Amino acid sequence: MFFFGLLWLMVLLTIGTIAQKDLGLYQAQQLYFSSWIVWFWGVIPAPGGQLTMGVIFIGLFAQLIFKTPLKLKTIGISITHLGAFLLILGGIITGYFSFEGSMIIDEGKTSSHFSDYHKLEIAIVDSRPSDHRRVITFDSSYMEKGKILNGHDLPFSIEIINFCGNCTYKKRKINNKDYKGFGKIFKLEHTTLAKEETENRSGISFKLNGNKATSLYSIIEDMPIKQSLVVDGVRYGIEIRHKRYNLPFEIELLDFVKTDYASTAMAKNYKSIVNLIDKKIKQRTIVQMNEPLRYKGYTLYQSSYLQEGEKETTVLSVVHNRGRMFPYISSIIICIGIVIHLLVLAGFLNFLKRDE
Amino acid sequence: MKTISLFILMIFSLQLKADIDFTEFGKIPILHEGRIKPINTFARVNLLWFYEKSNLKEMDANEWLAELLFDRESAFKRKVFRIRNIDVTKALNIKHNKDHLFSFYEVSYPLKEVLPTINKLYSIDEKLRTPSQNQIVALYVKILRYYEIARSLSFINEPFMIPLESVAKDLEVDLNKKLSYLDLFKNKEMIFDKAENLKKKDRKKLSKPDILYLILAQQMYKVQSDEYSEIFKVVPPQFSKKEESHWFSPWQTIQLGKGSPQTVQFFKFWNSLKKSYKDQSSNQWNHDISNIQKISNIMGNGVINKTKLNLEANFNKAEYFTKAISLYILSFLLLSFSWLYKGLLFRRISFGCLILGSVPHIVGLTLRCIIMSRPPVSTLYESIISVALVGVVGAIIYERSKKDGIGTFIGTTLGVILLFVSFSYEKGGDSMGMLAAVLNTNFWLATHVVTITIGYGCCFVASVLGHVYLVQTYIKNKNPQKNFDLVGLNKSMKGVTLYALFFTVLGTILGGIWADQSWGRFWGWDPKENGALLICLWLLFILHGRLIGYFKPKMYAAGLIVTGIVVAVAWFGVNLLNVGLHSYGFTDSIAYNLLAFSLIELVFAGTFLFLVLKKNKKDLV
Repeated sequence: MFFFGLLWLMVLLTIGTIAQKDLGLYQAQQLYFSSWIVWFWGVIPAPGGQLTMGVIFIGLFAQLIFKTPLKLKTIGISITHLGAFLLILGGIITGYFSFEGSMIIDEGKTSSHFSDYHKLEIAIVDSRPSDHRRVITFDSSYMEKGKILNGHDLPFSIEIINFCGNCTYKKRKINNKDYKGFGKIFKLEHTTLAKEETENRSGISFKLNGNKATSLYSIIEDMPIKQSLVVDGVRYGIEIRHKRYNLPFEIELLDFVKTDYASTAMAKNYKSIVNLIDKKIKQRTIVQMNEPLRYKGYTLYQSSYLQEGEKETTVLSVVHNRGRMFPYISSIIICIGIVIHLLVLAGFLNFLKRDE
Repeated sequence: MKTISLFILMIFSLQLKADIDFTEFGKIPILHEGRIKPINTFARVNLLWFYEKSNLKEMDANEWLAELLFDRESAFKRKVFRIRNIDVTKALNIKHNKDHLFSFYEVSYPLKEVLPTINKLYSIDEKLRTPSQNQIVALYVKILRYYEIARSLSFINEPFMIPLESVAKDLEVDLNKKLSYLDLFKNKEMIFDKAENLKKKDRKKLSKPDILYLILAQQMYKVQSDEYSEIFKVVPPQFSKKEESHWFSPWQTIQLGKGSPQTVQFFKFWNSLKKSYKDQSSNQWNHDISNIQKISNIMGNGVINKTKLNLEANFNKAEYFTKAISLYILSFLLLSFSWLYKGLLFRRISFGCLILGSVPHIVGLTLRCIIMSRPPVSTLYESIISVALVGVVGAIIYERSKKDGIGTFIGTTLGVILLFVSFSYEKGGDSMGMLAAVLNTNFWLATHVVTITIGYGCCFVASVLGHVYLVQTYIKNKNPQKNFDLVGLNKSMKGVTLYALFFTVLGTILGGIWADQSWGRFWGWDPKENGALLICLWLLFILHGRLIGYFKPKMYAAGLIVTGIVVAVAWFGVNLLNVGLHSYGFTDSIAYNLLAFSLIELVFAGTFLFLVLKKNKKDLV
C-alpha cells in the first residue's frame, strides 16, 4: 500500500509540476496536491494528493505501531520512520491550522491586521455606532450562486446571484435600472483564472432583500469607492476583499531601506525598520531578508516592497503556524535514524550486539 | 638584401609586440554587474558573449580589450562576432563564412539597414519571436556594447589642434599641439556659448578665430556624443567607501562632475598608456599600468581587495577545470587499457590520474570560494562543477576501499561528463554573478545547497553503479577472476543509495527550513522543491521495493539508472518550466539535451534488463 502510494504520489507530483506552467503555482497546487480527488480531463477520477498522502501516513502509522521490531539491526530504520511520520503529521497540522497573508504598510503608518493571500470574504460595515464600527464578515463558502447572507442583527438579507473568481467589468450601453450603484453602469463578466493568483479580481452580483423593497447590486475587489447600501435610511458599506486577520499588536513602519549592488538596480538587501507596539509599549526592531520578527506566535517576514516616487511601502508576510517546529524535529530524527542505520551496516555498532 | 632587412625588421617588430605584457593590464580593477573584478574578467565575459570563447584564437582577452580601447580601427576589423545561424546572415545580407566569424564593420552597416525591423522586433515579446529574430536583436545589442566599450576613453583621443595664437591663449592651451576633449573640457561652456552666439551672426562677417570656435564646438559635440558610454566603470568611489558605493565610467566621471585631481592624474596615465600601446614601448606601458593601479588603489582604498583581484586574474588564466577534465580523460583511457590488457599497473596509474585530476578541480573550486566569499554552489554552472567534484571524491573513496577499478570508472565518467556539461553553461556571462537578495546568505547556501549538491553527486555515483551492475550481469566472463564481484556490487548499490537518500532528504528538509526562516513557509510546491521531493520519493520507492523483495537486484540496478534521469530532470528540467523561485538560467537546448539523455538512459536500462532476463531464462533451461 505504502509502496504504490509512493508511486502514485510521484506521478501526481510530476503532472502537477508540469501543470504549473499553464495554470500557475496556486491553481495547480489546489488541483493536484491539496485535493482529495483529481479529475483527469474532467471525467476520470483518481486519488488526489491529500488522499495519497493520507494513505502513506496511515501506512507509516500502522508500520510504527504493529511492525516495529525492537532489534538493533533495524533500530535506525525505525527511528527514520518515526521522523517521517512526524514530518507528515506536521504537514497536516500546518495544512489545517495555519494561516498566512500579507501586511502592507506605508512609511510612517501603523497597521494591526493582515490579509490572506488566497481566501476571500464579504465584509459588511455598519457604521451606525459612531464610536465603534461593526464589521460583519462572510467567508468564501458563501460565494456561490444562491447562497443567502443574513443574521447578525442585520435588517436585511443578501442573496448571491452571481460569483466570478476573476471578473472584468464592461460599461453597459444602456444603464440597467434594476441595479443600483456600480452595477447600474457596469456589467461583470467572467474571465479565466489568472496564472498569478494575485492578479485575480473576484466579484459578486447580489439581490438585497430589505423589509420593503429589493434591489440588485454588483461589487468587485479593490473598488476605489466602496459600494454602500441604504436600508431603512441607514447606510451600510459592503466590499469583497481578501480575508482579514487582526493581530494582537501593532506595527509601525519607521523606515524602509533598500541597498543595491554597486552601480546596478539589483537589490542586495531590503529591510524595514519598525516599531512593535503592544499595549502602548513601543520597541524598535528590524525585519529584513532572512531575519524575520517573531512575536506572540506570529512570524513577520520581509517579503517585498513598493516604491512610488518618494513614497516607500513595505510588504511583510505574516504567518501563524502551529506546526512550525515539526520539520525541525523530524529532520533531526530522520538524520539520526539514517546515520545509525549506516553505522550498523558498516559494522560500527557490532560491539553492542550480544549473542545473536 | 632588401628581403633580409625586411625580415629583420619583421622579427624586430614581432619582438616588440611580444614585449608588451598584458597580464598586469588585466589586473586593473573594474566594477561590472555589481561586482569589483579584474579587467581580465570583464574582457573575458564580453568576449565570451561576442565570440563564444573567452580568448580569441590569435590573442588573449586582455590584448583584445587593449586593442578595442586604444586602436579602434584594428579592433573594428577583427573578426569577433560569431553568427552561426544562416538565417541571420541572409537577413543581414552578409556572406556566410566557414568560421561563422565577422568583424564589427562587416556587421554594423548591414544592421543599420534593418534598423526599422529591429525596432519593431523590440516591441514584440521575446517568446513570440523566431530564433533568428532573437539572434538579430541580440546581435544588435552586442554591436552596441562593442561600440560602447570602444568609446569608453574617447575623450583622451587627440583630434583637436589650435592653429591660432589668440584662441590658444584664450583657452590656455599650447599652440599647434594635438589636444584631447579632456584638455578643452574646462573651457567647454565658453566654447559652446561662443559658438551659439556666432551661429546667429552673418556668415560673411565671421573672423578666423570665430570660424575656429565654430569648428571646435562642432567637433566637441561629436566627441561628446560618446558620453553615454557607461560600461567601463574603472573609476573607484572616491569619497564614500562602502561596498555599495557607485563606480563611474571615465565619461560619467567628467560629465557628472565627479572629477578630482586624482582622476585627472588617472586619465593622464590612461592617455600615456594609449601612447605606449601605439608605440609598442614596453617599459612605458608597464610604468603606466603600475601608475594606474596605484591611483586606482588609492581612490578605491577600503573597497578594492587587491589580493582577491590578483587571485581572480590568476584563476582566469589557470583554467583549472580544463586541466581537471584533461586528467580525467587520460585516467579513463588508461583504465580502458587496463581492462584490455589486465594490467594492474595501468589501473593504478589510472587511479593516480584521477586523484591528480581532482587536485586542480578542488583548487579551482576553493579559489572561487575565496574570491566570492561564499560556497561554490550559487549558480547552475557552479553547482555542476561541485556535483562533479562530489562524484569524483566519492568515487575515490570507493576505489580506495574496493580497489577493483569500478571507483576509477565512476569518477572518470562523472568528472568528464559533468565538467563537459558545465562548460556550455559558462557562456551565460560572468559565472561569478551577484545573488538576488533572498539568496544572499552564506549560512543557508552552505547548509542546504551544499547538502543537496552532495546528494546529487551520490545519486550519480549510484546511477553509474547501476550501469556497471547490469552490464556485468549480462557479459559474464568465463574466467571468474576477470569479473567484478556481483554480490559486493549489489551491496554497494544499496549503501550508496542510502548515502544519496540521507543527503537528498536532509538537503530537501533544510531547504524547507530555509524557506520557513526566510519567507515563512516550509513547503510551497515550487517546481524545484517538487523536483527534490521527487528524487527523495524515487529513492525511497526503489529502496522499499528492494526491501519487500519486489525488486530483484537487476531491477534495482535499472531503478538506479532511472535515478540519474530523475536527478537530471529535477536539476535542469524544472528551469524549463520558468515558474517559481528557483528558475534561473534558461536555454532552449537544455530541453533537447535532457530529453536525449533520458531516452538514451531509458533505452540502455530497458535493453540490458531485457537481455539479462532473457539470458537468465536460458540459464534456467
